[in-house]
Amino acid sequence: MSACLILFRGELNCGYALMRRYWLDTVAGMINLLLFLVFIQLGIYSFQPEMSNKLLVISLEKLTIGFFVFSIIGAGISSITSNVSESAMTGVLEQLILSPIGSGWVFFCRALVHLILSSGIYLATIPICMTICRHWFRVDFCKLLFFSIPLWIASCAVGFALGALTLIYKKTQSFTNLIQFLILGLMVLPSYPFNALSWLPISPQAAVLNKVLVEKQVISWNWVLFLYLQSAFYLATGLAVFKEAENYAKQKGILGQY
Amino acid sequence: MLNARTPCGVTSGKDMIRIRNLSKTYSVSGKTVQAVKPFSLDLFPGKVHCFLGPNGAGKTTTVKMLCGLVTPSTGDIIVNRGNLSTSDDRLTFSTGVVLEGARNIYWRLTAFENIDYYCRLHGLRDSRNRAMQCLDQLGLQEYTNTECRFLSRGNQQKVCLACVLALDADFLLLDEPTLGLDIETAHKVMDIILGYKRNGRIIIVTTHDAEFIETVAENIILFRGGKVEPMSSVAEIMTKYGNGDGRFSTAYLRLLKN
Repeated sequence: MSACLILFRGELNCGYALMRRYWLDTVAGMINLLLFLVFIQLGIYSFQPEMSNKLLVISLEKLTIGFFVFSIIGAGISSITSNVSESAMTGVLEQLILSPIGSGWVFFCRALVHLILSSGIYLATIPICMTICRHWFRVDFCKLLFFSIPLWIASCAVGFALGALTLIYKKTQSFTNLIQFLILGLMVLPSYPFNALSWLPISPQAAVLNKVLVEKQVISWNWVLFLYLQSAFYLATGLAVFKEAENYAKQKGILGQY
Repeated sequence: MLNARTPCGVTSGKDMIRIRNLSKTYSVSGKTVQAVKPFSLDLFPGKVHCFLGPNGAGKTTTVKMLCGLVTPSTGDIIVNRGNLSTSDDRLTFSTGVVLEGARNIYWRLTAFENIDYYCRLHGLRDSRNRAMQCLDQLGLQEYTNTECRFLSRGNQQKVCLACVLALDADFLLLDEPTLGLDIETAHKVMDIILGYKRNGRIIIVTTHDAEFIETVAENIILFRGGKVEPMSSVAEIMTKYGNGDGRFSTAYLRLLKN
């Protein structure tokens, strides 16, 4: 555990240093996110001026939360897949594999650092966006964070499965882009209340976030437990799949190639 | 909990590594290629073992098998009571590996950040001190805060070496460590390797640098078309294949033609 903490600190140092060093990219990323939200909100406002203020706020609220959910999912998946392919391209992947902590945990720590550093940006975007559009709605940030955790963990699990494919097939960016549509599908599936779809990764986590934050529903603690356990199960499965892919790549001698 | 100095099997700098019947067979486009034919070897501590041979002879594959980046098709790598070819975590915790080319480091991080990160990747606590010491040892102080992408090829190679030396590993695997280095730096690297040798470490070097071999290597292992031939020493090669000009490169060329 202490070795994991030491590594986490190392990842945090590097992530922060790169964020500061390449500040233009960081700021541009934030502006990008902000403009995307603002333009969509202004679009809704301009095309449906007759919409009552209450309805408008609800749709903006849904959109903002939906976008936040999509960003969290994207952060979980892409930070793992892009790190695996980038490490293979630059040649450091083999050094990461040699870590006694295990390459899976190295990529998990890196994804966690990415989330910590970028969630501040995501969270700051919501009030900035509301200010610009002059449409206010209440967001319970504590609930948002609490229900985002299992969502992010489940996304990391999918990220590890895709990372495993990257380890073996190397160039998988187009496939990863294709997966975005699958994620959109998972996000809108009616997996709450409990049904067969609730066993899918990401889907119940995204559905519950929507119910809690937009529809202001109260979720039972059993559901909370289910969400956390289900995402932990998928994370363990994702890590196991990644480890198997690593062993396969070692057997074939294709670990460091890209 | 992981312990930096007592990893899986390599418990001190005094252990020897016994390689038994090690081989690697790949399948390339449906064709079976034996990259390394079965060989056995004892690697003694306090010695520099030099892998020699033409390109594609199986040196790098053997280095990768020894550090755990390639799974052997047959054979065992035994240290004390542990069999490293079957153990999951193998030699990795106390093994330092520099793979061919300056591709082992992050170009967007500074020299200091790279070394600090590599120490943390191996769960080492005093990473900052180790990083400063290694920068000092390799004469890289002036580049402490310079991003590696701005460094010359030779200095990038020095940072790669510094990352590995900072681990203070029992087993050092260096794939062409003097490639691209100026003569002064190459000599410095040789001195460092000799220092490591005196501390009772096991060092394996693959190189084509004749001066390096003459100065540092004690135990020569020749690779030819995947076949491994232990040659014992530079003196033996000079005696058997030299033409009296006292140059190792001449003897080595005659050996390869033989």
